[in-house]
Amino acid sequence: MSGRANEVAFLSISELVSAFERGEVSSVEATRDQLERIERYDEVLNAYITVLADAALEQAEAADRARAAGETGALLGVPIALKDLFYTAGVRTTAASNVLADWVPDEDGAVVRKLKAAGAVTLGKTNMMEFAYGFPHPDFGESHNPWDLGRTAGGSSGGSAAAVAAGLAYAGMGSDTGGSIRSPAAYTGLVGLKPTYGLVSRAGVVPLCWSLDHAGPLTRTVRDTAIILDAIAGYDPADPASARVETGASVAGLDLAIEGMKLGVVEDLFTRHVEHEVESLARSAVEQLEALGADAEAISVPSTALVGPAIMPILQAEATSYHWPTMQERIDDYGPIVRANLQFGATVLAKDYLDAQRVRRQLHSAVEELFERFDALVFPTQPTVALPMNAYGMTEIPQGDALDVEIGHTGWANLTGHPAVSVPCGFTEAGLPVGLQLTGRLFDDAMILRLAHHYEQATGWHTRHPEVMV
Amino acid sequence: MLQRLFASANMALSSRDLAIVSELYASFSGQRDRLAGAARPETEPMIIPAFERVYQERQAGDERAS
Repeated sequence: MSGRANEVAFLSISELVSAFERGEVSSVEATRDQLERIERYDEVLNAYITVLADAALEQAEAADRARAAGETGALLGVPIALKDLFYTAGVRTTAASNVLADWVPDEDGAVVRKLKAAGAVTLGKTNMMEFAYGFPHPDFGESHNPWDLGRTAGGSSGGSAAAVAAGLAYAGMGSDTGGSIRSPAAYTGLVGLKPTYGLVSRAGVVPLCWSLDHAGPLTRTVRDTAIILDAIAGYDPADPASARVETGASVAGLDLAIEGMKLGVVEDLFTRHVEHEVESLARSAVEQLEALGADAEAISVPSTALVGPAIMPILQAEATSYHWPTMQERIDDYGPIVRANLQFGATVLAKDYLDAQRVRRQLHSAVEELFERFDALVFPTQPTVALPMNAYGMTEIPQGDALDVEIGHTGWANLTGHPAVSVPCGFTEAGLPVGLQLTGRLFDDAMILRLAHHYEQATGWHTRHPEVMV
Repeated sequence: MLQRLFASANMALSSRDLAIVSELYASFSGQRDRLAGAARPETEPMIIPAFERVYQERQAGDERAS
């Protein structure tokens, strides 16, 4: 591969659009380059389930014609990838399960419609954990981490993460029920945003758990995340949780000052199950934010220990409720781990579910109280770096406390609904990325993106890219 | 009982399925206990998240303050 092509593949969205506008590269050229890279690298990454080469090139040609006719747009002609649970008209949408292996939706989901309306080019549908439940189906496998092919890209949006990190898409769409955007983003050195619950429509997204599901982007820079968010946010009557709030100011707010912003440094989540190098890098990131003018204060929030116990019964019960009719007809089409978890979901007592929803309200109230004193809460996105591939095998069932470790840091914001972004905060000695999580006030997603943007620009972690060996 | 529940829904629960589900149920017992101990009697469940209302109330409060 030539140096120039590599440079184009790893441009940010804003840089790519500038290159389009200067006539240095066309959308067709950028799309063809991405398709060639998918052909070359995806054999080892397993990031894509379906590649839409012909449709992508047609969309790119249309984008180039539109630009020539004077149209502009922050996503016009930009090749992106969609997790394979976003409905795509006429294109199979599998959710990485044999249950939906041949399912072809009649129409695009709300987010897909908005991205296409903004001129984005859809390269394909990305691999994921089966039905976003956190475990891969053996027939689809896990996506490999471009920084270390022996490690997972994480889940459940691991395909989108692997694709964007390796330069096989300029952005990837994901979904996040307990951390499924932020965890893979942290593991692969990307920015991943779980927007405020209700800000981005989930209509046309295969659900996992209605009251915890969110849709959001994974990108290589914070500005790119803001660009995507501005394109996809907004009220949608087709999503019962959709909120009528003002949207569209994420990009505009990025460069506003952060001096004097108050950060609550959640000490409990710097220590609970956290690897030493992860803790060290996250603490350095807080020091960097202080150097940029933010005021950081260490706080203890003991109720964070309840995140795992509260989120699991909700997730298990709602997922089993959604899947019950299919379980009756096609239980053997689920992978072994998701099958077991769906069956286990039938044992969650109504009392357990309601206890969880009561503790959820307590957690929400506690976070709202913190936001009377702080502008953002800060802690490592995940306690560990990316796990080795097949950490659980394809059949071993992870149990209570193991799940608590994985979901304890990210599930908090799913329960409370607050926006949370993971931004790269360095690399371990072994060269594995680590993420810092910033959580903000409801519907003030722009605030955490502003903090993350200032941090990113001061550190430059986003300029590092993996060399994928084929 | 679990096998009867699944049978009533026309779903066969194999002995292997039953063993796994029983094991999972046991593995979450500590979390269930912590949850039951943490849920305060006066707290209503958050079954339908009403974050938009929280946001609007804060906005209204901010406007009054200014």
